[in-house]
Amino acid sequence: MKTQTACIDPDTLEKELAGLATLVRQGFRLAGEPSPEVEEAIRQEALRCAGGRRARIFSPFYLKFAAAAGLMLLLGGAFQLHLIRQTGGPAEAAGLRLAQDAPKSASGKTEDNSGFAKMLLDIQGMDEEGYFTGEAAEALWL
Amino acid sequence: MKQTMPDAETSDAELLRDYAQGHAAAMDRLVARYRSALFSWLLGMTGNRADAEDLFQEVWFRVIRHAGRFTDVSFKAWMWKIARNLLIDFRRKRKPDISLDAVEDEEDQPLVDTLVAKGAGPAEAVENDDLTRRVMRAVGTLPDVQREVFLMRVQGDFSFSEIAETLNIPLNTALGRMHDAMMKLKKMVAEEGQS
Repeated sequence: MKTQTACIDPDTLEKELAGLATLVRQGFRLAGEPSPEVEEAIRQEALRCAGGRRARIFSPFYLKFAAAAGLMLLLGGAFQLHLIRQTGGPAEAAGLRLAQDAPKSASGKTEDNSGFAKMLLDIQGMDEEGYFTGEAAEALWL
Repeated sequence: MKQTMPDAETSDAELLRDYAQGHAAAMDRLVARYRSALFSWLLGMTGNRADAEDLFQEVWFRVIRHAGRFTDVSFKAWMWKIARNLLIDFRRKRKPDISLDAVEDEEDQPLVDTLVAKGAGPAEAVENDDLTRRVMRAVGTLPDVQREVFLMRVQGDFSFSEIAETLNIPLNTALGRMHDAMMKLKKMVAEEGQS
């Protein structure tokens, strides 16, 4: 027949355990701890295994692996540089993008600022070449 | 240089990771943290000091050798699983049934005698340890499944849910075993006191 266990409240168990636990702990305290020889054996084993782990980091395999990884990085970088030079590079691409993003007139054409300035000068009866080399300018130099 | 935090602030998992990276001192701190709890549990489960020491050493050797493979949530639960598996193997190989009073040979000292031998003095042993002695004798007569749970709670400081998880049993089963163990202990201690 299977034993029927009623639902047990952990808090009630803890309260009942308190006095008993003190005696049990006292008993085990009196029984002492592992001998110094056992603890020393554990310490030696820990040192031996830790030393092994450190040594593996500097083993020829790890050093060769690190050198190969470094070489691969270097070659990858050089190849990327070569590709950038062949395709014109990012600076040129950025210039192209700026030109595409330049402001446009209502008609959809890019405004030509130098043409507009020339037109203004023509209206006033002046021209770009003669404007800065006329008599007025010469008088200023003197 | 590696900064070392105060012991209480460094988790078990961090110490084990430090050890796995080659810092031997981290293992010393882990051993110091669980020395008493694990040794008491093994002493309670095996019944004598020599076997408890052998198992204690073997548990830590396994922890040391497999430190890099630790993936569990709780180091304590992981270590206890190792200890429990070693205890099961040990019992299969050597002794089918052990109590705390059992003596296999002259070098094996039963736990109840160990308690008195390790006491501060004869007077103290008589006055102070009579009840302790009765309790420890009673603990030694508990069935394994109950003693295991009882000592994990009292000496290992496991919560009931941690016990259930470590032993892979339902929480109610862990509580039931603890309850049964305590009822038996109280009864046995009272009976011994009367006789």
